[in-house]
Amino acid sequence: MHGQKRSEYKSRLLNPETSSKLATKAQQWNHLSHELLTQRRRLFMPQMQTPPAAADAAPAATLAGEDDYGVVLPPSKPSPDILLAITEKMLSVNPDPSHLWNIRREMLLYTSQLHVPKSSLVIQAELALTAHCLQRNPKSYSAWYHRKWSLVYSITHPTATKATVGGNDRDGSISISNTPSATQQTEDKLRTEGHVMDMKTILISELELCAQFLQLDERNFHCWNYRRFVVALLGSCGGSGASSSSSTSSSMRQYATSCMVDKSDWSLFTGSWSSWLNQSATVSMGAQSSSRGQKAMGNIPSHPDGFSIDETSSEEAHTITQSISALSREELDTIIINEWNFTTSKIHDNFSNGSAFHYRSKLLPLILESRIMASLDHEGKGNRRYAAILALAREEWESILLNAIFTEPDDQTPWWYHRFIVSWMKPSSNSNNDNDNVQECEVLLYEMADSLRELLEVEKENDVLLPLEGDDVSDSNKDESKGAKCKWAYIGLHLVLSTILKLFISRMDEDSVVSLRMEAEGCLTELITIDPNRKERYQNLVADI
Amino acid sequence: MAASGTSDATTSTTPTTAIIGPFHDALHTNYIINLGAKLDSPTSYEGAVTEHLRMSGVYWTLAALSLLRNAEEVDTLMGLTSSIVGKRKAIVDWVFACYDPRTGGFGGNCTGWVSEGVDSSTSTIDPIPHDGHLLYTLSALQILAMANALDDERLNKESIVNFVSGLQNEDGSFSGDEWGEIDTRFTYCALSCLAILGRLPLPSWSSEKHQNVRGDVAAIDIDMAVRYIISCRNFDGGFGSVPGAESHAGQVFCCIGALSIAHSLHLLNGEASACDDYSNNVDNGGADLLAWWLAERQCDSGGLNGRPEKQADVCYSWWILSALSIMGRVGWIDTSKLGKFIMNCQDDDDGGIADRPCDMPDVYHTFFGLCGLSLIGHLGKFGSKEGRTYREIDPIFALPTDVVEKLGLRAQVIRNLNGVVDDRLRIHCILDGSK
Repeated sequence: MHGQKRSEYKSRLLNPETSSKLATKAQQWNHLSHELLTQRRRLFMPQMQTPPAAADAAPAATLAGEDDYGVVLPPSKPSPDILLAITEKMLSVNPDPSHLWNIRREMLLYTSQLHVPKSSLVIQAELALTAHCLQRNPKSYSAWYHRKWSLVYSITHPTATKATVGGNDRDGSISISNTPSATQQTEDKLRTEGHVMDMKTILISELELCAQFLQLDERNFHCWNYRRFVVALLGSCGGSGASSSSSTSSSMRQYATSCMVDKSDWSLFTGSWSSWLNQSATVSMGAQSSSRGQKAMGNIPSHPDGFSIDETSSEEAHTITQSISALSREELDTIIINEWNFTTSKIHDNFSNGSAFHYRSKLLPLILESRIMASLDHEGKGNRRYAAILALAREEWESILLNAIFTEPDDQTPWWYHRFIVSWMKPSSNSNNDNDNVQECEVLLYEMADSLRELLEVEKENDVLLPLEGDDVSDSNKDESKGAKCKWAYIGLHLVLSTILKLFISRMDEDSVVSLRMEAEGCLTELITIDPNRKERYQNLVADI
Repeated sequence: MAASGTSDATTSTTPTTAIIGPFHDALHTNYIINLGAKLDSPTSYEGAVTEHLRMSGVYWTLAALSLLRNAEEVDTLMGLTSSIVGKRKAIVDWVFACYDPRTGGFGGNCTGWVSEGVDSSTSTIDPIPHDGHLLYTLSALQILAMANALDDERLNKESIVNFVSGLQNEDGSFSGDEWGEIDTRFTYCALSCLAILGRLPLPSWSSEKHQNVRGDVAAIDIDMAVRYIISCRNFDGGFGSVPGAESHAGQVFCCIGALSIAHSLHLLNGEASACDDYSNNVDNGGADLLAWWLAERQCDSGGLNGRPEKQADVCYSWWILSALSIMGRVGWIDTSKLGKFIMNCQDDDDGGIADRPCDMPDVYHTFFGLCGLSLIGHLGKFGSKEGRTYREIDPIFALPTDVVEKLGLRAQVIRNLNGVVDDRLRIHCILDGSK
């Protein structure tokens, strides 16, 4: 069991008080688990358990006393609210089981189909529940996913004002009301109490939540993934048509339809930014329709026995897609630069934040694009692009990497990013980069080599001045992964030297070639000695030279 | 050049290093055999909080024991295909009780299952399965494969194939279930399920004969599935759960395993620009960059971590070694130091292997620890010391190699730099060249 000390765990189990407490909890869990699944079956197969007439009764009748769900007794008639309450109780204890979230979503959709007005607060309720679960277990896949699902659901199912009558309504909105007067009431409520925030405001507060979670654990990849997902949603929801919206439900509707969100756009769930690069002036989030995708949003998976909900009208999804106003270049830039600055500050907080470096590697091409667009340079496109790449590479080297590697030379994190930058700044073989640019690439590589030689000198001196006493290697868990002194500086220098040799050998005189080769080989020889765990790889590299 | 056959761990790099022991065969076997009854108890807290993933738990249990005992012994000891009289019905029967006909997949567990020996009058209903999910569908099929029960008439292969194919999205990715969560873990599950069922189409670029495919209609778009995996590649050569997600060693296994099953490992060496966000001509580093990143997961303790600057954990012995085996580069880490780390994670009192030394063992780490020992060739040596022939783990399908061979599963591996191929990998298709 992750991180559970064996001796403590075993002695806990031997303690009669603890073990009886755990046994009680287990029995409660097992009881609820069984209850949940049997009631769900009864709900969807009423004919098996209850007379058909009873199954038609409105579930609102059983709402009373929902706060007492601590003691759930098998009701005479299953109701979605009881099932929701059971899932909430169980998930608050253990947010991992995905089938519990499934049942929860199923019930949320079920009640929305039955037009229960009180469920209009669903987005806040789901955000609160998942936040609670994630505080308990910040690495729960299912809880993060439910949060994503809730957001996408509320965006694609805006608070509807159109008064459609019962069975004809195919919108599936959570907070839909049947009658015009109820709609008016809802609108007033929205205006006066401000219960429903503008989706954009919610999304921006989600970024804040991510920042808080990353404060607690800066490497939580679930949270980074969620952040990227929120940014992708923002990118599809930030159209200027929406920015002035007040929080009336009619403008909510307008706002939501201005979001570039297809009900079945799967890229939303992965937080894909892939299409951001393909469009120079506007952003499209790829709103193609997928018939498969429609299962997850707004449609309860059909049950074999008498319960299924109409498919959400694909025409409506299409209309939403068509009426989209695209995000402007400036708005997109603001989002991207905000994220870029976020990674900068996370990296400056701690140069070991590999997650932030990774995120930065995904932003880099977008920042590049944004700079190229902004530049007024009218030179040939290829030159301008490569010049921008080199400028950005130099910036990354001077403002982030140099600082990081001189501060923590034994931390591998920034070195992976360094390798990436070196690879990224290479002139492409097939394009017509002009000589100035290629020369700048060469200059930057030589500067890197000089700095790395300097770093090695400094480290060697430190080694002499402060001989290793072993305390910093064995004490903390973190140092376990650090590896030998200077290892990464040698790896970095070898990378830079072999890149220079590969790219510029034709412009070099023979003496320089020989001397760089010897230096690169020397790095590997040194590495074989100081990092014997990986000597086979170094030996392979020696053979390459 | 290194003398080692990289993935041929039985002729390992460091013949002088004595294998440290002792390896607690009897304790581990006991631990594994008795685990089920412990978790089944209605008062087991551990059983309650892990009930939703019991199908995977049973798979880890059976697979772990399968490395230590032959198929007949496993069957008898675990009650796999027939009940243990007075105690429990056959595991295979329980697996079928977890089949969810509504979705066509297997759930992680079921409720209302009555074990033999328990008063059956307490049950008022038939067992109700949890919702079908790809994770548990693969575990169920793996269990049935080890039980030699894939021809059981209760197995509705067509529905399972439809379940898997229905979960593929337009971009090639797979959702875990009908609710839409996407992850490259699910791609691995989908491809492995179809391979086990003999219904995996091969990609258009494969020169292999489409001998696995029955019928004309391909169950999934395999080309898109592979392209999606490649789109999850990162600047460090690793893979994440979705495009843009950080590299993680567990996710690397899923992606490399899926590429191997799809006979598409050569795409590791493709141009990044063809499959990634980078508009510039970035060298993606090929298999070498990924294998190097994996090799740098080895910590001073000898154990492997899942990401830079993280603590070592026994489970990465599986995630990383399997990927390195597939890429023919196991020798890029110090295998004897890793073996020592895993041995130090054994519980010498009660059996089982933990995530780290002195931690509480569980079956997940026990299985992956044994896998690690198998992939570096140590397990075989312990076996001969015990006077037993231990079975080997297949690094692609995570099943004993004899099961993989019997099923006729054929994936792809990369020949290592010295041209040596581990015996256990010979049943697979060999991709030449390192670059």
